[in-house]
Amino acid sequence: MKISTISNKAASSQSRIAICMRKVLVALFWLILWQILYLVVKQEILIVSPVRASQRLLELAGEGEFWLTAMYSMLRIVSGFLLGVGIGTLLAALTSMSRFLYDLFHPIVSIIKATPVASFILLALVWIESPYVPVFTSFLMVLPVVWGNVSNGIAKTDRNLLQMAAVYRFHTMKTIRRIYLPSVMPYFTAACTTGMGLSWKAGVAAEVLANTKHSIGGNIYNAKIYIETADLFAWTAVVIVISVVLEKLMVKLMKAVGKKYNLS
Amino acid sequence: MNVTIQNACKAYEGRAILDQFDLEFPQKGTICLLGPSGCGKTTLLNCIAGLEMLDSGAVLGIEDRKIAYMFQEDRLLPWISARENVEVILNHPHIKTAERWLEAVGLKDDMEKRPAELSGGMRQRVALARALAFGGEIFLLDEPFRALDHKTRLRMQTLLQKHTQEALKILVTHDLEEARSLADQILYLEGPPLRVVHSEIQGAQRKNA
Repeated sequence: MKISTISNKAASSQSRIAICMRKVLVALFWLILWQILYLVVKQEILIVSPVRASQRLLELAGEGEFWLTAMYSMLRIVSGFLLGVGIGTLLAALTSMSRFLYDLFHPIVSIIKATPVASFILLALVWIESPYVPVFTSFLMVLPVVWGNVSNGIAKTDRNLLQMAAVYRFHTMKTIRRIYLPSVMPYFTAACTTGMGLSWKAGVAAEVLANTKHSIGGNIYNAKIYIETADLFAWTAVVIVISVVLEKLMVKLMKAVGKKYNLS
Repeated sequence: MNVTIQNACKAYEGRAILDQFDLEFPQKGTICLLGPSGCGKTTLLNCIAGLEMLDSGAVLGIEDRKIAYMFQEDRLLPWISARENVEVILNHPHIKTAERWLEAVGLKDDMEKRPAELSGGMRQRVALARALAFGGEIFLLDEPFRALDHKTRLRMQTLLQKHTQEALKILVTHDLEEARSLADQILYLEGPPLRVVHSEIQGAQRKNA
């Protein structure tokens, strides 16, 4: 038994190294391709080299303003994301309870889902002040995803378990805590993962169009105006990094919460 | 009041499962329902448990009575351990109570395992522990010993009988031998629509045994 555990551990660490190696190789492949593309095009306005982009990123990272900008953007987009998750979940719970509410909200959520994000941003610019436009936009992107997924999760909750709960006289809170929450959790996690990516894409687009002060989008907009392609690449890299790191952290947090409270 | 089914009608997609069905159960004892699959036995149990509404007719004598139901499937919550699965149905959750019942069904060493880590027979025993821990005046048992080997089955049957002497047990089974060894009365059923084709009182035989 012990021997097999040890050899399992060795095997798993070996495979982990293999996976890491493969990831590094894949990254290298694309970086080299990028470099080749740059060498073929040979116009810094169209495409900068990976070296130049990283250089610019490092330069930017040396400025205090950079961190402030990244922080403000993150605050705005994450606020919109959290609002979307909160209200989307609440709405899903309500529309799952009542057919009338479902019929009432379904068309409006479908419209939000299908509306081009640019239309929302431009409309929001008319309605609200520039710093809140990205918040509002992220919120609108996340809302339908969370609503749809959580509703689906509630609908797919095992009827057999709900019958068991009815027979053994679970009160409503117990049924929610012990049956609905764990059933919906995978759908909720999937919605949050998708939603996080969407909120960054849409949020930064909103910052660009709203030319929000102290924002990554605003910097991207300026990079375009002054044809600073290296800046454009560097700021885009910032968005990718923050978005991926936040998503990973979120998934870790959800796993930990799920484990602690027996939700998965 | 005895559990009584009165003029019960229930149809699924135009097919009558219960059609003017009447049946009265005694105050206590074990009643075995013996009949082919799909004849309507489970529907009958679900109606007694209040999980399904009759199209017409009534189930009397179940108001305010505690009913424990062992379903055909184990219906354990997959995200919590065997122990928590028993604990969760208690009004005043007490670890000791859950542990006692799981020990009684022979799962002392597997209490902290989740249902997925247990075999079908073990899961069925957790479900039995859950029903016994819940207690009640009526036990609905839908093939509760199906997944158990012979020896365990006998032990579980004895355990069930010992702890539910004052209760009414309605037990669905396909096993005539099981019915004969447990029942005070065997109802031979056919359907759908469900009907009693023969009834056999086992009381005298059991007293002699």
